Amino acid sequence: MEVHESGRRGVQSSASGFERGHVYKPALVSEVQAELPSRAFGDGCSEEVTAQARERLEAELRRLTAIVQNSNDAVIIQTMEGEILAWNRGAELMYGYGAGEAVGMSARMLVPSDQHWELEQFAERFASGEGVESVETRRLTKDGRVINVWLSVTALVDGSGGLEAIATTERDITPVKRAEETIRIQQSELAHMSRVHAMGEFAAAMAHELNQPLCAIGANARAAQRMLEGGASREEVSSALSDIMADVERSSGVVKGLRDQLRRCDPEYSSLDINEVMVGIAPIAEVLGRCEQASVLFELAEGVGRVMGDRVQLQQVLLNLVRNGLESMAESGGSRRELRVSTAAEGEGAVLVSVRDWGVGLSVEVAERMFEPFFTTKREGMGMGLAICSSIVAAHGGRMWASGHEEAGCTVSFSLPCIREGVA
Amino acid sequence: MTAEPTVYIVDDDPSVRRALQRLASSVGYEARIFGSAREFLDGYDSSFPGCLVLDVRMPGLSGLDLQNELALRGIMIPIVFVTGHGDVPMSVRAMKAGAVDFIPKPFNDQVLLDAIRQAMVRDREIRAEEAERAEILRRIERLTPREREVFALVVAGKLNKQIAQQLGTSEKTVKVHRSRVMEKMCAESLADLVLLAQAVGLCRPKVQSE
Repeated sequence: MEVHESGRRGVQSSASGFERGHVYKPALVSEVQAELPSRAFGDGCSEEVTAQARERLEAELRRLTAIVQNSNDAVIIQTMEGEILAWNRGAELMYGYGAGEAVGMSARMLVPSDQHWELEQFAERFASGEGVESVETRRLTKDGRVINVWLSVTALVDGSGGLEAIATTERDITPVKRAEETIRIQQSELAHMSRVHAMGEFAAAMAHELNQPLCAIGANARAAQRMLEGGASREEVSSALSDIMADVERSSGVVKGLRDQLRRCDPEYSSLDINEVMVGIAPIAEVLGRCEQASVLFELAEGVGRVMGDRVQLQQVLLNLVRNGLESMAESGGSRRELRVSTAAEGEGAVLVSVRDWGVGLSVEVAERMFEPFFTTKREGMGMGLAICSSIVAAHGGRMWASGHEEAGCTVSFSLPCIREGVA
Repeated sequence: MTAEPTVYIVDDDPSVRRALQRLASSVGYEARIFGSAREFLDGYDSSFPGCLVLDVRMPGLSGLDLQNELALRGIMIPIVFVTGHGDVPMSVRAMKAGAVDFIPKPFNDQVLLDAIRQAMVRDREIRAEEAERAEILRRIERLTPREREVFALVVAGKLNKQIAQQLGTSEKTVKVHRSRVMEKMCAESLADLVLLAQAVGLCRPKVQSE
């Protein structure tokens, strides 16, 4: 069995137990002994007291040693220059290097090349007297795998308080990260499936919506032709052409909205103007409104903050709320068929998006359960729409709620945290 | 008052109704546009000739609702329906209620223009019938109460003798009334008189004698 240690004293006192056995190496113990009188008890103590103290100290050391050596976390000590001084069993298991190989090796070997900057940063921080907090980072194993680790760094100081070495505790969080990633992918797939499903339901409405501009384009084009044949003025023909252009733009707005919603994509978080995101679905929302013979109004507040989020998913949430509102109004058969989509600043740090309908309203039971999966009040519906919406909003760090109105209908709202100025 | 036949276009989609207006104008029709059935009802004067190009699905009163409403008001304007999502029952309902045509969007412009032309022809016919009916009613107005009684019985196929009996008068008097009726109604024969009566619904065309 080897002792993995260097000649540095301050390091030895804490790294001395990094070996598999429970027995200290005589050399080590003797060094501790040699230190005891001056360090712990000073001169002039009796032999007996010293012996008892030594025993206690040795017992303590044994315990600590066992804990460190057998920890599942990697515990590694390195010099300020990065030379590995001590290497526990956890480190062996995690990185694949035996203690014999690792000790004396450069700690750089454990860091993927694109992460080397981190070491410099740590060094700078220590040099300037700042501590290093725990960080999530990546490390390289002996067989070349990159693993995710949670790293805590401790500066080891000598008796006079000078920096002597760095101890790190590293935990392999790769499985956790992988599970998180799986959940993220599943959630994004679920969101995508729900979008595709919704778009399928919208298909008839969309076909109609594309029909309208096509019809107008056709009629305008034929009219323009006849005008040219009949010697109409340039202005008349030009106005027909402008209308054609407007209709082309209108239909491409619908197609783009559809395509965005149908696209399978990983969430792409970027800084978004929430008003602009909401307006992006206006063409589709208006089509849906027309189908239900209702008007969809957008009331967007000026100067609400930007949010960090995925555009498509946020639009999906809104479309879902719009559709629910329209369906609720169709069901209630009330005379007021109006859906208001509004944005507003909510206090300093959040933006509020609300969808107000004049439909059937909300019972207490529905209000309590509406965001639960598989809860639905619709005859044909899986009850996943709002559950997915609320999970999307939660993934954006926001929350979602609903309230009924005495007169008629309800408001479903969600709020999202704003990006602080200058951070984005 | 212009008698220029007008195409009235009712569609909630501003772009579509402008395009339809332009198309109708390009072949020489006067075209007026309305954004809703209500707007049309408020703005339409049935004394002007024309036809209606009507979107089926609109917020508020739908195209079919408007067709109903016009019928209730006794307005006979011929209707060409255009629709983005017409289904068979809907088109059957519209055609049964007297629509000239039911055209799905997007349409071939010629199909629509033909339907408009046909609707204008029907409007002329309806207006001509209407004018004729008004003229007949004016003639009937000029009959005395006794002459009207005789008129009704004559077109019902009664003989002079029967009429005299029924009215408690002489056959000779009935003859006098009868010739005055023929004269005032501008009828040259009994058959003429019966046609006039039928035109205003005074007697039903006889399909079968009872």
